[in-house]
Amino acid sequence: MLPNGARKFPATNSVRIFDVMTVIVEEGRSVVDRPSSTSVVRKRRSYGWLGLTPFAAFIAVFLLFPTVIVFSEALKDRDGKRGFYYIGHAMSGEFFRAFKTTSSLSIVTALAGGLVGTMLAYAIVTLRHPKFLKTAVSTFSGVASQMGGSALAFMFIATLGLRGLVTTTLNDWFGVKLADHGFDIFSYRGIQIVYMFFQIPLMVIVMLPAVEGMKSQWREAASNLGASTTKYWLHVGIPVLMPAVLSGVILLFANAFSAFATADALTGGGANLMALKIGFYLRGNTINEPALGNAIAVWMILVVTMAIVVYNVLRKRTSRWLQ
Amino acid sequence: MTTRRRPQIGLALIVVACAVFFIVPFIATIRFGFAKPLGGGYTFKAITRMVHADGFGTALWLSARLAFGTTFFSLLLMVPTLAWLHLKMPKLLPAFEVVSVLPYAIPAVALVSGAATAFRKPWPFILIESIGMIPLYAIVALPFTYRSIDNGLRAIDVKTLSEAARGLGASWPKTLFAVIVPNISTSLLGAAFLNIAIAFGEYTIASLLLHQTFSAFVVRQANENPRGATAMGLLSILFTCLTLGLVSSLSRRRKGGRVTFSAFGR
Amino acid sequence: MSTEINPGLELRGVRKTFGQTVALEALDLTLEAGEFVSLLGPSGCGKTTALRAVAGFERPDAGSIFVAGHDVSDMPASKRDMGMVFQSYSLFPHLTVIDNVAFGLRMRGQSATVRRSTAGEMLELVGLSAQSDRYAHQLSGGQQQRVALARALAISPRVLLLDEPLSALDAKVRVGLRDEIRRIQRTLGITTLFVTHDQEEAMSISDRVGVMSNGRLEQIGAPVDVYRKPTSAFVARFVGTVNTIEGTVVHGGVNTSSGFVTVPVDGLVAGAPVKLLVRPEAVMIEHVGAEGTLTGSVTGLSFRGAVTRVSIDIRGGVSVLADVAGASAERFAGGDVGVRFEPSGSFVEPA
Repeated sequence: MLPNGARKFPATNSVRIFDVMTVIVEEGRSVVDRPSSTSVVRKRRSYGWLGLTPFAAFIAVFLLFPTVIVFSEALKDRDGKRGFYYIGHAMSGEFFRAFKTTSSLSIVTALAGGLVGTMLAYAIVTLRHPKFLKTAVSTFSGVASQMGGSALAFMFIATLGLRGLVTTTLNDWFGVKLADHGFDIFSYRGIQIVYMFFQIPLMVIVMLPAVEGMKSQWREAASNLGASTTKYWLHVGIPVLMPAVLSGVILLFANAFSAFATADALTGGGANLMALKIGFYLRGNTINEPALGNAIAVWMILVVTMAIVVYNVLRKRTSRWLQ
Repeated sequence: MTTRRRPQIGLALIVVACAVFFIVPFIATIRFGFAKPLGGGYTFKAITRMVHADGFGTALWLSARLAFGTTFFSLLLMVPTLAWLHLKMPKLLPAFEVVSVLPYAIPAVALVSGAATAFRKPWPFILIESIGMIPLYAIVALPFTYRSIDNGLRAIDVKTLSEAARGLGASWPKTLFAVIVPNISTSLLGAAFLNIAIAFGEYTIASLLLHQTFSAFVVRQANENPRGATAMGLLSILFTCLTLGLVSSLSRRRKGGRVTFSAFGR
Repeated sequence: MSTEINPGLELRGVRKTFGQTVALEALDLTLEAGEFVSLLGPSGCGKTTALRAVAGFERPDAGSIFVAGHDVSDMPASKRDMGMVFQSYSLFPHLTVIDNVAFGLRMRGQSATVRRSTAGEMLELVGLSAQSDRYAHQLSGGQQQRVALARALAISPRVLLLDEPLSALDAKVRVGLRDEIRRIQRTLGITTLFVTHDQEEAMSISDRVGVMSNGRLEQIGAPVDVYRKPTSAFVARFVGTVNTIEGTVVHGGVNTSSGFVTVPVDGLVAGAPVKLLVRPEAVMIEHVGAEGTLTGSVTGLSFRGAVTRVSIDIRGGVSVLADVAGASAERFAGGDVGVRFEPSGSFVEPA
C-alpha cells in the first residue's frame, strides 16, 4: 500500500501527472484506487474519424483543391473545352526549351551537388581533427539547405556580379576579367553556381547519416578477407552507399526543378525556366491563357512527384542497410 | 584501422575548398551591404535607407503577422490532429506521413497557380487579403511541422500519459493542454521556429500573389537600393540561421529529433 | 607424422602503446597447430589489441608474429590469410548470405562455380543452407554470427580469430553457438585464437586459457590448471568465484580474525598481512566445533539446481559463500556450523 492509498502492482511503470498524484500504470491500463465518475463507453468507429476532419478539410481545401484545379484548368483546348491542347503546348516551342533548361539545370546541380556533398559528408566523418568539424558542417548544412530566394541571389550578385567581390578581386589581382570569359551571374551558369549553395548542404544532410552508418567492421572484415582499399570501395563501400547517393541526387534534382524564388530574384523573372514561366503567366503578363501556366505546372508536378516516389523507394533500402 | 596520410590531405582540401565557397559570399555581402559607396569604411546607411523606405514598416509588420499566424494555425491544427492519430488511430500514421510529404510533390509555384484559379470565385478574400496566405504557408510548412510534432509525441509515451490522465478524470481538451503539450514543449518550440523561419523567408507565394511581405518588398527595392537590399538579405539570412540553429540545438538535445529539410522559399 | 612441430601461431614480444597507455607489454604466446586458445580478461586488458595485432589491424611497436613458421609482421591485413569473426555488424548488408560467405573467395579470384560450391559447403557446416539467399538484416544475431563464421572459414585460413563473437548475443544462443564453434573448429583443425571477457565461455571450450590483465599475460594453461592452480590473485578472482578473508601469516597457515586456517604458506614471511582466497566449493561445512573448523552461522541458502550456495557469517569476521552439492544444505539452515577450507581450493595473496 503506497502512502496515497494506491495499490502497487507488479511490473509497473509509474508516471507523474499534474504533480499531484502518482498513478500506477500496469501494462498500458491505468489503475487508480479511487472511483471514477462515469464509465464511458464510446462508439469507437465514427468518433475516431471525427477528430481528423479539421486536418482533412485543411488538406482538401488548400492542397488537394488547388492541385485538382491545376489539372482541371490545364486539360483544356483552345476553345475552353476539355482537351489536351495546352498540355501539349506546354511542352512545345519555347516551353519545351524551358523544360530542357530546367531539366539540365536540375541535373547539373544535382550531380555536381551530389558529388561535392557526398565527398564533404565523407570528409567530415573521416577526419578526426578538428573535433568540431562535423557538428559545425552539419549545423551549417541544415541552415544553408534552406537558404534561397532573394537574399541568396543578392549575396551572389555581391560576390560574382559586375562589381562583385570576386569579380573585382580577380580583375585587380590577377587581371582576369570574368566577363571576357563569358561569365555572367545572371546567366544559367550563374544560376547553377547560386543553386550549389543550397544543393551541396542538402546532399550533406542526406549523406551524413548514411556515411555514419558505415560500420568500421565492414572495412576490416573486407580487408581480412583479402580486399585492398580499391576492392573494398568497389565491392562494398560504393554499393552500400549507392542507394543513399542516388536518393540524394534525385532529391536535389526535385529541389532544383521546383525552385522559383532564387532564379526569379536573380534574373527578374526573365530566365527561361519552367517555374519562372508559370510565374510569368500568374502575374497576369498575358491577357488570357491561364490554362498555359497551369499546364506547365502540371508537367512540373508530374516530374517532381515521380522523383519523390523514386527517392522514397531508395530511402527504404538505404535505411535497411545503414540504419 | 588507422587512416592513412594521403587520403586525409585530399579530404581536408575538399573541406577547405567548400569552406571558401560558402564563406566568400558572406564576406562579399557584408562588404557590399555595409560599405561606404565611395569606399573607406563601413556604414549602416544603406540599411537605414531601406528601413526608412516607404512601406518597409508595413511589409515587416505583415511578415511578422504572417509568421505568428502561420505558427499559430499550424500548431493549433497539427497538435490535436497528431495526438488524435497517435492515440486513436495509430494504424493510419504511415498514411498520414505520406500526406505530410505531399507538399514536396506540389511545388509552391504550382500550388499558387492552382490556388489563384481555385479561390478566385468561391473565396476571393484568400487571394486578396495578405493574411489569406496563412493556410498556404501552413501547407508549405506542413512537412516540418508534422515531423517535429510527431517526433515529440513518439519520444514521450503519449498513450500511457493520456490514458493515465483520462483515468484520473481529465476531459480530452484538458488532457491535451495540461498533459501532452507541456511534455512536447521542445518539439513545439522547434515547430514554431520552423514556421517562423519559413514565413519570413517565403518569397514565391507572396510575390506571385502580389503581396508586400518583407521579402517581396526588399526585392522591389533592390533596383533603387541594391546595397540596402543586399544588407537586408543578409540580416534575414542571419535571422533564419539563428532560428534554424535554435531548432537544430533543440532537436539535438532530445533523442532522434532529425527533421530532414528540403525545398522551401527557394 | 612429421617430427617437426610447426606452431600454428606465434607472438614474440609483441608490444603496443596508444599514446600514454600501454595496451600490450611484450606479449609472448604460442599456439600449436589446431589448438584452440582463449584470451580472457576484463576490458582494457589488451586481449583485443593482441588479436587485432595478429589480424594486422594494429601495427605493434615491437615484436613479431609468425603463422606456421612464416613471419607475417610486415604483411598487410589483407594478405595474412586469416579468418576473423567480429563481435557484431560485420556482414555486408548489400550481399546475400551466400555472397557474404563467398566474398573472400571472390577477392582471391575464384570462379563463380567454385565460390558457390565452397560457400554452400560452409553454410551447411554452420547449418544455414536454407538462408543462403537472405540478407543480414533478415537474420537473428546468432544466425548472423554463424554466417560470419562460415565466411571466415570459406577461405581456408591458417588461423581463425574470434573477437568476442558471442558477447552481443542472448545467453541461451551463446551457449549453443560456442559449442558449435568448438565442434567446427575441431572438425577442421584450425589454429584458433578466441577473445572473451566471459570466463565460463573461455573455460568450457578452450584447449588452453590465457588470462590477461593490464597488457600482460598473467597465466596460460588448461582450464583445469588455471582454475585449480592460479598463479596470482587476479587470476584466482577472475576465473570463478572466490571468498576473500584477511589475515596474517603464521607457521603452517594464516591467522584470521575468526581463527586459524591451515593453508600452504611457503615462501611467505611470518607476520606478513595477506588475503586468503577460498573457492566456494572448497568451503566445507561440518558440525559446530569439529576439529580444524571455524564457527559460523548460516544466514542464507540459495538453491541453484546442481549446487546450493550457502552464506555463512563466520564468528568474529567475514561472511563467506559455500557451494554444497544438491539440496543437502537444507539441514544447516538457521543454525551454527563449522567451516573448514580445503587447501586445494585456497590461495594466499600478499595484501
